Amino acid sequence: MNAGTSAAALEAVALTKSYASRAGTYPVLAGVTLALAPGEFVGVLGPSGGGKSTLLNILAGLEPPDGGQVRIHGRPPGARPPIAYMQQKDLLLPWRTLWDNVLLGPELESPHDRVRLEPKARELVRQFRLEGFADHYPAQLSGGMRQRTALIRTLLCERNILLLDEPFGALDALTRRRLHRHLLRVWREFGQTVLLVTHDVEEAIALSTRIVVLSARPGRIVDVFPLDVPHELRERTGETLRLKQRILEVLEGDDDA
Amino acid sequence: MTPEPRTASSTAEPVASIRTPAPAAGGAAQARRSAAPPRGSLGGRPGRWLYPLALIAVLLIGWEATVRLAAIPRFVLPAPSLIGLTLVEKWPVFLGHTGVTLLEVFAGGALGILVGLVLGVLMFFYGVLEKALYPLLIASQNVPVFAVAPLLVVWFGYGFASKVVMAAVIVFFPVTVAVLDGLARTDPDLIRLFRTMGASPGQMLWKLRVPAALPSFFSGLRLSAIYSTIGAVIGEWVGAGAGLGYLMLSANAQLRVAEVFAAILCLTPIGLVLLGLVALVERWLLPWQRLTPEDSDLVNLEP
Ligand SMILES: Nc1ncnc2c1ncn2[C@@H]1O[C@H](COP(=O)(O)OP(=O)(O)OP(=O)(O)O)[C@@H](O)[C@H]1O
Ligand SMILES: [Mg+2]
Repeated sequence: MNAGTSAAALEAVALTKSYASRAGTYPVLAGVTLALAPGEFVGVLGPSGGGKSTLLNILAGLEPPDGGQVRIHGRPPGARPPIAYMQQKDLLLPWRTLWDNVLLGPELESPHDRVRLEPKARELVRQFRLEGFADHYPAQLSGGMRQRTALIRTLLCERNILLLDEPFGALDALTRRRLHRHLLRVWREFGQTVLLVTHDVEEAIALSTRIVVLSARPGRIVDVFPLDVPHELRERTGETLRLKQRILEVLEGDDDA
Repeated sequence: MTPEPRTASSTAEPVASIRTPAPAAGGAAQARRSAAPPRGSLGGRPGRWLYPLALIAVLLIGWEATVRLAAIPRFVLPAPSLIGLTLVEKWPVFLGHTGVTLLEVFAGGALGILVGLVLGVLMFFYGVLEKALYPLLIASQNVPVFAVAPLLVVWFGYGFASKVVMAAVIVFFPVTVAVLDGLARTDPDLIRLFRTMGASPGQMLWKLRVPAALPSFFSGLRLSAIYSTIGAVIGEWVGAGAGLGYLMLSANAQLRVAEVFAAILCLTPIGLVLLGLVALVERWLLPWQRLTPEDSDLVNLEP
């Protein structure tokens, strides 16, 4: 094992995955290799059904890959990898209020952790504009509110690797932008390694330090775009616009192929 | 023929004004607030009770009229008025027998629920037990309970015990199935979520499987509320010295049909009260069921 790979916080090495259907097996991932340096924020773009969620499931240890391997800080993942995973479905517990849902992670850790993280939870609930809904059950919340609740729950898990699968999919443009700022602030403060899946090119540009474009099924990496411009300046530079153009061309090119 | 503009709605209007506080006292502000739709459907609209009650009244009047006009003898079909009179005149007798049956229903239901709960949990944890027992349980449901009832009298005697066992025998099965089903059908995505969060097996059970199984458990309880009454009465029919089932049988033998009807009248509320009790506990324990975004106290503050 060389020093270069072991420096990565999260690593996918030649991951392949196929699913069985009645018509036979069909490949979903065709050799995905990707390394995230500690503190890196990688955005993943790709067409629907390309295997993005499957990739995250494998990285989180929820599904085994058919081939290749996952490494965390250079080692195969242990029983409890330091990963917090926000899935595409919000997966809130219907019998818990918003407040008890966001504190699920710390509560499973220890009663002491729950008490310790309550102030942070309160702060996040306020920033995400959910104050006043703390005692509501998920069934009483809108789709966007449920998604924000799930994101807070993920952030409160205190893991240094975050896998986020379309965390802002159900939000309007305005709320989305505000949450981008909050997520970036949390990321700067705690320096997690983030892998974020999105369909929104602008969202990927606004958040990532590197953008990875996945192909249509079976998924493989077709292009990588590093972003060096500081986050605050991205909206104002023409470079951003050109980047968006290039990414869209890659996505559309793959679509035509 | 033009329909009169909404005069028929006079049935709905006055009732509606009982539900919402009269705006007269508070002025405009209060009037606006009381215009908000009522939360949930706790009391239900009065119409829900009005129509069935009206139908019952019509049926009773029809029954009374038929019996009187056709001069049907009272040992064939007594008029409702006679049934009511019987109930009033002999109320201490009916009360006593109702009490006996009620006790059997409660004890039998509780025993059946307990057995069902234990069996369901055991079968969930021990797959071998489930594989061995489940087919037998299903097969046992094809044995008519009437066939077992006389045996129970032989084994447990003429009194209280055989009725309790009879009710428990009918009740435990739906509860077992509900518990097993509820525990086994936890959303696999939630199980994976708990796994990524590092939940222990104990947490997996108490913080995920048990709360997820409660709605299913309660549908089992609702069935048991109905079944335990049936079980107790069957037990009394087969052999007893007291209880509504015994009363019905002995009255029937002496052609005192009005008393049979009166006994049925005493039996009906037992099941209803039990169902209501289950619903109350369910509402208290599982307030999150049947909620929608409309059930928010706040105006939606989105975004
Ligand atoms: N458990 C599974 N069993 C069988 N097929 C699956 C399973 N999970 C995913 N698939 C299939 O694998 C393919 C990729 O799915 P995946 O959810 O990873 O795509 P995605 O890129 O996340 O799509 P989207 O952007 O729409 O969320 C799809 O064709 C999907 O139907
Ligand atoms: Mg997906």
